[in-house]
This record gives sequence, C-alpha cells and structure tokens, in this order.
Amino acid sequence: MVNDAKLLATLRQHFGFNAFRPGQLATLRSIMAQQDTLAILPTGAGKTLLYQLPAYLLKGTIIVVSPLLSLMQDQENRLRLRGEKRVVVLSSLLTMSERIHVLTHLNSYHYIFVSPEMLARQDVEEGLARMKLALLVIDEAHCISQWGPDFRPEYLLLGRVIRSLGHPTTLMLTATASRRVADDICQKLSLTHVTRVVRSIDRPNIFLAVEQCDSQDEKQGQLLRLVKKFDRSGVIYFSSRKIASEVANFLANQTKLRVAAYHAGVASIDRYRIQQQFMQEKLDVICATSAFGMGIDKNNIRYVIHYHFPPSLTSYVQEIGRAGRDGKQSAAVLLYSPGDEQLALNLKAVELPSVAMMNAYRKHQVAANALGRNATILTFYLDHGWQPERIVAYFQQRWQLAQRQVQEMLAYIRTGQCKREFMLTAFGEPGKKQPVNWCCSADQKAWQEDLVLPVIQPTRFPVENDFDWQKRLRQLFF
Amino acid sequence: MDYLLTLFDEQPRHYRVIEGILHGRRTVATLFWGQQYGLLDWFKAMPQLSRDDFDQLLQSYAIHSLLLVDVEHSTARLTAKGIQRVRKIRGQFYQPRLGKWAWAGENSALPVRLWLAVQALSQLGHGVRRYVPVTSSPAELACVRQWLRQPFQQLRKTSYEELQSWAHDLAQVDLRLATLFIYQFPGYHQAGWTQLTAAKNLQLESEELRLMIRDLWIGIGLHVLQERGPLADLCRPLVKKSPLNQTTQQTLDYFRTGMAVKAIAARRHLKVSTIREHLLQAAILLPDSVNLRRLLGDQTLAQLRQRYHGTINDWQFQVPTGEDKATAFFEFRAYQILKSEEEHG
Repeated sequence: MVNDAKLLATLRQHFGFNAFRPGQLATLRSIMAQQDTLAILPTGAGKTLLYQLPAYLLKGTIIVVSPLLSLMQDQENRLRLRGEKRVVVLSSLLTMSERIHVLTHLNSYHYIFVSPEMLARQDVEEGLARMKLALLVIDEAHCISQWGPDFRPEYLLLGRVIRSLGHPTTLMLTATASRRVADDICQKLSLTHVTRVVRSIDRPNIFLAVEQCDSQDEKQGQLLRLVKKFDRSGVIYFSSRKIASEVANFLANQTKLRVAAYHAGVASIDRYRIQQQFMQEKLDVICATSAFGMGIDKNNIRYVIHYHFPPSLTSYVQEIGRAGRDGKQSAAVLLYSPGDEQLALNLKAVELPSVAMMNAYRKHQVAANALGRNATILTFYLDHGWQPERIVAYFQQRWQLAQRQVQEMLAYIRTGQCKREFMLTAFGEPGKKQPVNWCCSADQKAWQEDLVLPVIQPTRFPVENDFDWQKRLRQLFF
Repeated sequence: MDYLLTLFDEQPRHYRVIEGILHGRRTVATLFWGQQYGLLDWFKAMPQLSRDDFDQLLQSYAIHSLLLVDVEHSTARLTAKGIQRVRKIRGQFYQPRLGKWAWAGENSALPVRLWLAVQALSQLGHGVRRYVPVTSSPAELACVRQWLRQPFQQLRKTSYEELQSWAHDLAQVDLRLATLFIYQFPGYHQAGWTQLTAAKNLQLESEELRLMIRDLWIGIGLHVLQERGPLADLCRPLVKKSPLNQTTQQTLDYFRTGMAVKAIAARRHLKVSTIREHLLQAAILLPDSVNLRRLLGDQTLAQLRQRYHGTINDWQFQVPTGEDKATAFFEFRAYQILKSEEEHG
C-alpha cells in the first residue's frame, strides 16, 4: 500500500512540487487503492498529474481515452517535454501500417492515448486486453454525457470495453460535471462503486464578464478595445473557422499584437507551429475554434474572450478555464449580440431522416449516405440494434436538452445578479462563493477601466526585413 | 490572382483539358492536349479546384471581356484585353518553374520527414533533448530515431552541407525558394514559418505561395533522387522515381523487352486498349521512353503519313474503311505524339 508520504516524495522527485493541489491527493489515494475514481476538479487543478504520478508507482501501461485528437496530441507533447518517449497516440491519423506497427509493439509503450472510436475496434481492444494495464483514464469524461452532432456514440461502448479489458482501475477526469452528469457518466460506464472526488468549479482568479453588443460591427469594435486593453496573452473563441481567420487578420492589422488563427482549416504543420509560438511567447493572441487548447499547458493565458456563443455553460467553464492557470488575475469575457443563440442552436441541430428511411437502411435497401448529414451517428445506433423509433425519441430528448443548455447560457448572459454565483448555482454549489478581488461585470461595472491584468513580457526578436537563408541555416545547426 | 487565365492563349483551347491538367487527370487526351498547349508544368497544380469554381472563373473572365468562351465546342481563347492581363500576371507573379517534374514532389510525407530530421539535429546540436517533435507519427519518429544512430557530429556537418547545397540550387531558380525552404524548418528556438508568415514576409499572394511551395518540394525531391548524403538517403524512399504509376511502368517494361501490345495484354490479363493507354501515357510523360515507330510499324506509319499533313492540332481523325475505330484512333494519337516530338524535339 502506498502511503501519503510516498506520494509526496514522488511528487517532489519527479515533478518538483512540494505540495498537492486541492483534490489531487484524495484522487491519488483512491487510485492507489485500486478504486474506480471520478475526479471533478476545476480547470487548472493539475488533472494530468493524476495519471502521470501513478505511472512511477504502478506496473503496466496507462491507457488514456480522449475525445479530441488535438487534446491527445497536446498530452503526448507534454509527456515528450518531460522526456517520456514511450508514448503513442492511437488515432485515425495513423496509416494502416503504422497502426499494425503500434498494435504489434503495444508492450513497448508506457502511455497509450486512444480515441473512443479506435478503442471500439476489435483489433485494438484485443491487443489492449492482452496487456498488463496500470490504469485506464477517461479524460474529459463529461463528453460521455454531452450531446450534439459531434457526439461520439462510441462512448456508449466504453462500459463494455472496460469489462473486456478485465476492468482495470478506471479514473474519470473532468472539470465540469453536475451531479446529474456525474451519475450519467458512471451509469454509461456501468461502474457501480466509484469514489467521487469533487472540488468547486470556481476559479477565483478569473474575472467573469459579459458584454452585450447591438450588432456584429459593435462586437468587433468591442473586441478590438478589449484586446488592446488586455494586450497579451489571450485566446478568442469562435464557432466559425472563417470568422476566426477574418478577425485574426483584423486584429493583426489594427494592433501591434502578433495574432494567428487556429482551427481545423489551418494546415496541421501550421497548427503545430502556431501552438509552439504561442507557448514560447512569440504569438500574443490566438483566434481559435474549440479545437484549440483542450489540453494546452500554458499557465499564463491572461484572458479568454468568446466572440461566439458557447454551446453550454459546461463548455464555457471548460474553455475559460484555460486562463490564469498560474493563479494570477485573469479575465473571461463573453461578447453577446442578439441572435447569437440561434447560431449555437443551428450548430447543435441534428436533422433526422424518416423512420421509414432508417428501416430501409436496416434492411440493406439503401446505403448509409441516404440517411443524410448525420449518417455516421445514425448508422452507429442502427448497427448496434437500436429501433428507429427509439432513436427519434432519444434525439428529441437530447434536442430539448440542447435547447435548455442554450437557455441556461442566455440566462447567464442576462442575469443582473452575480455571474459567479449564477455559475456556482448551476453546478450545484449555491452560496459557495469565496471572496475575490475581481468577481464579475455585474458586481464591478467599471471593470473595463479598472481591471488590470499582469503584464507578460513577450519574446521579441529583432524584426527581420532581410531574410538571409544562409544565416538562418547556421543558426539552426550551430 | 488570375493564374488560370494565363493557361489560355490567343488560339482556342479546350477548357476541360486545362481543368484536367490542373486536377492531374491522366487520360491520354488530357495529357496530349496539355502537352500541345505547353501546360504540363501545371499538371496537378490545383487539385482542389472544383468544377463549379472552375466554371465560375471562366464565366467571370468572359464577363470581364478577358476570355471568349465557345460553349458548343468547349473551347476558350483570350481577348486582346485578356492577352494584356496575362502579360501583366506573368510579369508580376511567380510562375511555376519545375512543374514538369511534379511527380518528384508529390509525397506530402517528404517535408515532414525532412523537418523532423532537421529539428532533431538542431535541438540535439544545441543540447536540447526534450522538445515537441514536428510530427507524432510513430513510423516517422522510429525512422528518424534510427537515422540518428550515426556519429552525431559528422551527421550534423554533412546534413548542414547537404541543405546548404540544396538551398543554393533553389536560390539559382529563385532566391525566395531558398528562403522559404530554410525558414520553414522547425528547430532550436524556431517553430518555422507558417504559410501566413511566409506570405507576409515574402510579400506573396496565397496562390503564388502555394505554387512556390510546390516548386520547392519538387526541387528537393529531385535532389533527393539524384544525390547521396544522409538527408537524401533518409528521404529517398518517399520520392517517386518516375511520373508513371506502377501499372504503366510495368507495361512499359514489357514493351521495352520487345513484346507486342497484344502479347503484353495477354501476359498482364489486361485489355489491349488499357495497354495502349499505358504506352501513350508513357510516350507523353516520359518522352523517348516508347519507340513509337516500332509501336506503329512501317506499314501503318506509311498510311498515316499519307492521311495526315499540316499542323498537328488541325488534323481531323478519319476512320479508314473496314478498320476498327479504336485501333485507328490509337494509331492516330500515337502518330500525333510522334510528329509532335519530331517537331518540338
């Protein structure tokens, strides 16, 4: 049995910290006692450490199931920066030969990151079932209970996969889960004896603000003012790639800041470069879609601005949580103009084909593409034996939930009461607000003049006008 | 940016041929006419251009009186205003220089492997062992890790010299190609230029940059094929050695052993028409690779000589009485290619 002293010694030796952050020790104790554990810890609480530290104390491989490729790559990069080379991302990006190579060398990896889709594949599941597993981690576990066209139905298979892997100790990680969502996660994974470690979602060092704008033009003007005020370093979230790129261009022209757009439409090599530049303080502002930064490990992001309406309060809390991981004063601003909620709803809408069409697919009378835009999700359910009527009812139920989530976001925007109190109440923590210096725009209306964020020194290089390839080549090599 | 306009001429050109060339369509008709128009440099230069976008561009050129479009014959030609505009574009914007070897730069894995190798040399050379590699592909990481097991100082020195030599050659074509090549490398304290940074620093339009990047990797692909050195050896398996695909190459190899078309078809269990298509493709893409005189035979050649005269592009295909149309057309096209080679060298 590993005691607290051993855990602390490991923390000191391998991570250089002298104390655990709130919730970490309780979670680690539970894992080391081989208990399935659901850790609901606020963003920036150091969730990655919860599976990195046991890696030094447990024998076997650690499997991390992650919803997003970008998140897996971020986590992989973090491990590589720690000097860990026995790490692999088992995703759809691997070629067939690469996948075979990885599957035949599974035992040579210490960490395996895997998407739910890949984990549901028979060859992957069988390969992993033959290994000695130290821990199974379900990262961003709230995704199991989320909804939208991007929902990954393979999450529903995870319970079966856990059993087929011999039920290794399972750690579920999330920053945001209400009691209902927490229950839903455990139920979908068919886990009955789960230790729950829950800490407040509150991030006292993040100032919460909502700015209402009458038009998109006004919103852009407001954004420019905010970015000029806050300077570096910031992330601005959009739900449209095109607008993210346009606004990045606009901000680059209107300010002295170094701004880049980051979304799935940017070439993957450029996404790598942008992320590295941001980490190295060579970029000041990133205009991103939600693909950016699920796992970004940059401690001094000073502000997160939402140019578009986030899909739910849960997503909002997740995304603003990238600010202020160093504990210093930071800000989260949501820019709202009338009608924004419609865009959010459109993004969540799932068009269903008729029951007759779904039945025709089941009888192999029509091909999958006859099921329309959402064929991938629908074929998953149909191929797993769901009746079309059940699918329709399920989707209606989820659509109602999506509408409630948008209403909840609207209520957050419109409330004249304290935003922080509203948020805590929504996550089942009413009256738990701690005193903070800078709380929210409802309480501190003059924040635009008075709020000052700590200054970040950029990495500046002499401006090159004369690009000398020979000189640059020498710098690269010597 | 109206690069597409520059692919037209004062003489009418089949616009679907131009579209096919930009997409990299390998039919003999597309390749033949692409060659006649002198456009093989543009082969597969815009694979993402959709039919709708292509047609809309043509329409817009027609509306602006730059192009006269003859929908009935699927041809278009430049107006006087169009000719002026084309001159301006050619004078102001980058023109592809290495497109005829496009196959050498086709594999997108080539840049990634080279970036990864140079990144490793750069970081390790500066004493940094913990960094985020430019790719997380297990196969690429394993390949470069294996490659790094050579004496490091020597590897670093020769790789540096290799890159210097490649960049120097690119600079002979256009200095910006060398700059772009070197400034894209990630390494110690450098993430490398993104496309937006490159366009801004080199003052290029995005379409120009795309064509430069294409030329740059074609140039590097050719160096990798033709030279020896640690980086060339590392990357060689990723570079295509010929513009022909595997099946066309096999047909060509059989033909070069002296086999007749029908015999090759029987050996390869393919249709005669497929073998003919392969040989004509090879004749266009690799001039001199197919002995067209042998392919046609003396008697057929004499008949073709009698039947077709004057400007090749004006020849009208004729089916002689009692002859199979497909065979006659194959012979007609082979003869066109032969005469074209004779005329243009």
